[in-house]
Amino acid sequence: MTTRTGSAPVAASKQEAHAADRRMRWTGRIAAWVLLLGVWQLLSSYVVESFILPSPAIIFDKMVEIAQSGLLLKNFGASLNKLVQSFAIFFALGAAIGTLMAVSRWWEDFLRDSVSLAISLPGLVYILILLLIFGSRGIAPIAAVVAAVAPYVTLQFWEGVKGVSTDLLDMGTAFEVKRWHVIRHIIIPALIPFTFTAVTHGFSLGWRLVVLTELFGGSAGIGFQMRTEFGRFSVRGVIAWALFFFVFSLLLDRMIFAPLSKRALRWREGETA
Amino acid sequence: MSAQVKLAPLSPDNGAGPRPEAAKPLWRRVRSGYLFPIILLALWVIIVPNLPTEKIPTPGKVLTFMWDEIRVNTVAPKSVYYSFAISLARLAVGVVISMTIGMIVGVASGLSRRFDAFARDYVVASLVLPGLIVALVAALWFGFTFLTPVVTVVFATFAYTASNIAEGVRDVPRDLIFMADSFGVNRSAALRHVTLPSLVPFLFVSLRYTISLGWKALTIAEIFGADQGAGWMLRFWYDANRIQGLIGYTFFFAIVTVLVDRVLFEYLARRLLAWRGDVAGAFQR
Repeated sequence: MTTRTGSAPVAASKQEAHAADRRMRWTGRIAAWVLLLGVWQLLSSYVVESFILPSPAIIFDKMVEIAQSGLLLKNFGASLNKLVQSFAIFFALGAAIGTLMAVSRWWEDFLRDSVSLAISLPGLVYILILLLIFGSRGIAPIAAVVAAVAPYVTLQFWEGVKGVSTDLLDMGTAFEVKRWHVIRHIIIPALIPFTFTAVTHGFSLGWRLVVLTELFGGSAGIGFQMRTEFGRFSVRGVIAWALFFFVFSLLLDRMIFAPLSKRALRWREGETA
Repeated sequence: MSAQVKLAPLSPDNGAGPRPEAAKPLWRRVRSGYLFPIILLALWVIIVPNLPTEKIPTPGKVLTFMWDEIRVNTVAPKSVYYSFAISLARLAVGVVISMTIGMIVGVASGLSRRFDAFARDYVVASLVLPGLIVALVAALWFGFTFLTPVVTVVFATFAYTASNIAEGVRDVPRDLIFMADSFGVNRSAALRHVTLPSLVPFLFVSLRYTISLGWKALTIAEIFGADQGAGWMLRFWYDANRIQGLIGYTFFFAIVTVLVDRVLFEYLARRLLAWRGDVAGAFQR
């Protein structure tokens, strides 16, 4: 009885504290954005010339103009197309090699140093070399993105598959659990978390590299547009396209990957709580 | 070097135990580990000269190029030593500024939830902001100056230090602070003997990320906004349409990276983490 009467105010105050915390977070966040936009506006209207730092409104106008002219859709489609094609290849490649390395000792020793070397090279190097060899059209941009991102996916799968609990697998065998049940209840749940990480990182890394390849060659895409605007010394254009690039990464992460991974990892919540 | 893959600060179980491979005789590990590069090299030697194209250089051509560069017998306007020296100088300045800003922001957000609420979006935005965008804008603003690469390095990396240090500050052992309080240890002594040592591993991880990410950001910045430096040399050979130059410089980059990694980090790890016997293994990842 006493505990019950005692717990109600505790819960209420806890909720209140939670609400206060939320309020504080949002105040801080809004303050940060207001400050940023304010300083930007002040700088562009009083301190530097508009062609050096255009005001937020000018950038916004430019973005609307790009969107309305159809340039956005066309270039965005070109970049996305490259991303999807290269993603299919580097993910399959990375998953296969990583799993092989996790399962077989020999392959692990065989490839270990090469994978770490491949990761430590900047993606830029692959891009420059492959573009120079194959030209900037056709297969080269995709090959460059694949070469740069596949090692990261390999690493994820290499570490992830190794983490599958062999104890549980042994137990499954010992208790003669059906093969399908072992896959469904032991292997798949163990694979999901790092597969998600691999997909998320693969997409965000791949997206950057696609744009980077377009900066050096090609005739369409967000990176190509940035290069064009850069060549015209147009800060307005570069920032506008950069914001599109940025918004797309954020949307992809917040609207697709975050909810998906939350859903797929629901089963873990009971464990951690 | 999973710089982009993992942001988690050091966890004690990560590679702390002796790796089973270490038990193997050295020659076996060496042989299997280097087999793959050797096979690649063999393929390169055998296949490339038989290709119908002249574009892809043979290993001999690349080695000749590198040897010429090392002897400063080059058609490029700047020698390889000068290029890497200037790039490393830019990197060093950028890293120092980035770590300083990162530490100030990190400590402030670790200590004050109010400040954390304010700074969080900046930190997150900077974490996801690719170096190439910073590089382009910096190149437009500052031109071919010392500032372009340095500003790029700072903006592309400070958030890693900030978020790591913030975690570290939240992780400082409360018990020890309380104990220091109740035994009347003065503030600076507590800071020196409790807070700082427990931050060192986080600083160390941050330094690693900062250098490895900063190096990549710096290369991009030098390609678009510099007229000297190692990154600019990549652009020079790209524009000159000489693949042996690109590949040769890639090897130079790899050598410098390994040197920095080995010399700087092993020295720092030995010095700064000597008090923590178990931690050495964690840095050999």
